[in-house]
Amino acid sequence: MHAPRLPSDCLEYIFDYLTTRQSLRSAGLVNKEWNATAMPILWSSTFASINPKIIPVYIKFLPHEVRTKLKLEDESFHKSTTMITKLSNQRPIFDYAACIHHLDFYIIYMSAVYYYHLLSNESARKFFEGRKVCIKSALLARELIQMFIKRSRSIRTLVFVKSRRYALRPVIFSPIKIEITAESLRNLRFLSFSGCSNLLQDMAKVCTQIEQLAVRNINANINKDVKALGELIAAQTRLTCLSITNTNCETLATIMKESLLTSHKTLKIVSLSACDIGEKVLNWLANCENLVKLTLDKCRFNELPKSFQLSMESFSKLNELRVLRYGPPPEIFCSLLKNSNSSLRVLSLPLNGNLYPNNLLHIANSCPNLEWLSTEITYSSFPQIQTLFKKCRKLKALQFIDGEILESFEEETEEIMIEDADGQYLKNLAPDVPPSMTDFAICTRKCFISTDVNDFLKNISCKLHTFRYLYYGCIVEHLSAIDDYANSIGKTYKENILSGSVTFGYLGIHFTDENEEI
Amino acid sequence: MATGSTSTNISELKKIKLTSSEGTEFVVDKDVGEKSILLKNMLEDVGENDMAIPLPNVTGPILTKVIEYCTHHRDDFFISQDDDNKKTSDDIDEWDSEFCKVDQGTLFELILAANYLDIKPLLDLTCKTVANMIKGKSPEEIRKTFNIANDFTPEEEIQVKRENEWCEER
Repeated sequence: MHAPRLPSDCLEYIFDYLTTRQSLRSAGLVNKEWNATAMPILWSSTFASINPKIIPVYIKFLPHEVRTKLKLEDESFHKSTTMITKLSNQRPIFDYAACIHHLDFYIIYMSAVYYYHLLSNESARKFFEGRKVCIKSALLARELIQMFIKRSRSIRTLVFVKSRRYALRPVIFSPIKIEITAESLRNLRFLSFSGCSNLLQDMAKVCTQIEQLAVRNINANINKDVKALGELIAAQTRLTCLSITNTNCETLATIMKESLLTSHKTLKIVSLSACDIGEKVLNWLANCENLVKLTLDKCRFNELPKSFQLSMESFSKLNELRVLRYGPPPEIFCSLLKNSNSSLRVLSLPLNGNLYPNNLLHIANSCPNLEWLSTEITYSSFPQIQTLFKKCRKLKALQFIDGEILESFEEETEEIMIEDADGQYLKNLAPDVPPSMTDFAICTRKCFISTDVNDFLKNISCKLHTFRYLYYGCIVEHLSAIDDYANSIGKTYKENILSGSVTFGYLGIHFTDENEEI
Repeated sequence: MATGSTSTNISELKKIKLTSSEGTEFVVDKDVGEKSILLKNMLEDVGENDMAIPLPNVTGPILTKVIEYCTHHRDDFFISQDDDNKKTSDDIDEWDSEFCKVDQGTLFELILAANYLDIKPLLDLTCKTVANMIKGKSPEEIRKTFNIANDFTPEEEIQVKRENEWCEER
């Protein structure tokens, strides 16, 4: 009995479960109907990794004049191609180029480079020394990219990120101009690029469905296209995730200004790294009413006026705020936490207690639903932890790093008190540790090791998964003592540590004697 | 004859009638039938009705299998999988895998029925089973397994093979 014919939507459903290229290829060779369903899946992300062997098939889709121009038509070329691929001179049986969904310019360029390497009989070393080859590859990559944009039915992801080995970027990009009618880009969902290129010029007219956009290295002084980027952002109707890396205040303000009108309603995740943060940018962020996650990494706040006020109230849906490396000026921090924000669950703030007195009290008062906190403490802020614990009863994880460590990397740190008679801080905290706490980490240069850690672990009522206690700067002769102690604690208090993970570590510089660094 | 007092009981035991392509009538519990989104929507549209629902695309033996599947899973809460999740076909439980031990013709008929009746979990299961049968096989072995005729000319077949040679490695 012949099995019934499966319609192509059912076949597609089945082929989606074929996870390897080999399986898809075999399915595609069964008959014409299976071929027509399997090929679009197999050929959708051919450049997920460097893939030189596929280049000859795509070359066949290049217009005749391009092939002539790139000398892909002459006889010796044919000879060498047919040697490595056994491909005949016929037109491809299927419109493979139309299936591509994922375009990564760098991967296509590198595939072209390795393709020319396959054609030559030279050793890799000799081959890659020749600069001519790179230009040839860049020209080929450029033509391929142009052909894909023209021919693909639907490009979903477009990535053109600069890499160190990617010196010929201008050769690839500068002459590319997207036709405004490029249907293939209408459904673009993910765009990531480094530097502005004139590719952006007309994109706003074509792409309105981008969901994730990542931009690096743009500067209003150098690139005229910053405005185009702003327009592109403004044209998006479903942008949820925006990441901008390495740009200055003016550029950011230009982008924000151009895009202010539309996108901030849909944005949920924003990440800015190595950017100058000014007043306009913060106001723009505050206008993103649906923002759930905000990350500011290595951002400088120098351009903010001291009088600037920003309230957490503006971020009514913010769930996660991570400020990494540099914190905002103390005044801004205080205004930010002046009002309470019940949506905040995750907070990471580099707040040196010396610069931000009462930082933990501020957090305790304004973030009642906090579950994860990472911040700096100083010796003097230890008493504030108690208040934090009493107010934030949902805290699950906690990471404290001693702010003084970060300040004084050069200092000699010998004042470690292995036996600190007054060190009752941790012990006193024990009754207040929130019941949901699972991870507790302190990195400090004050060691309250003996009775204090001991009593703390004995008296907490929650079940910790991990307890990490890291010291900065230790005197080596004490290390073995600490090790022994850590082992004994780990064994004794296992019942309070679910997974039994008690970590004691040493951070920073260790000294053998007073002046000699290992 | 009471229509009001025992209404909850009645609705729990409510039956629906289905007619297969040969005209055989099947009576199933309403909750079992409603595993099919097609039937569920139909029942919502027509409301209370004693008429048998004709299923001209489903034969009696296949409908019997479908009912067997829906009855076994009647209490499952079908979670619609997120499309973003990587699809895997290694998560078939024992009963389901026994259920799929049928000849290829029946398996394909089940896919068609699940697609027509809109029973997503059954479609998932049967498609995964077929995918697992394809994995690791050569084109010729696949044709044999599923009884499919090769309609490529020898030249075409060679060309398709060569054009797809790049995925041999890795």
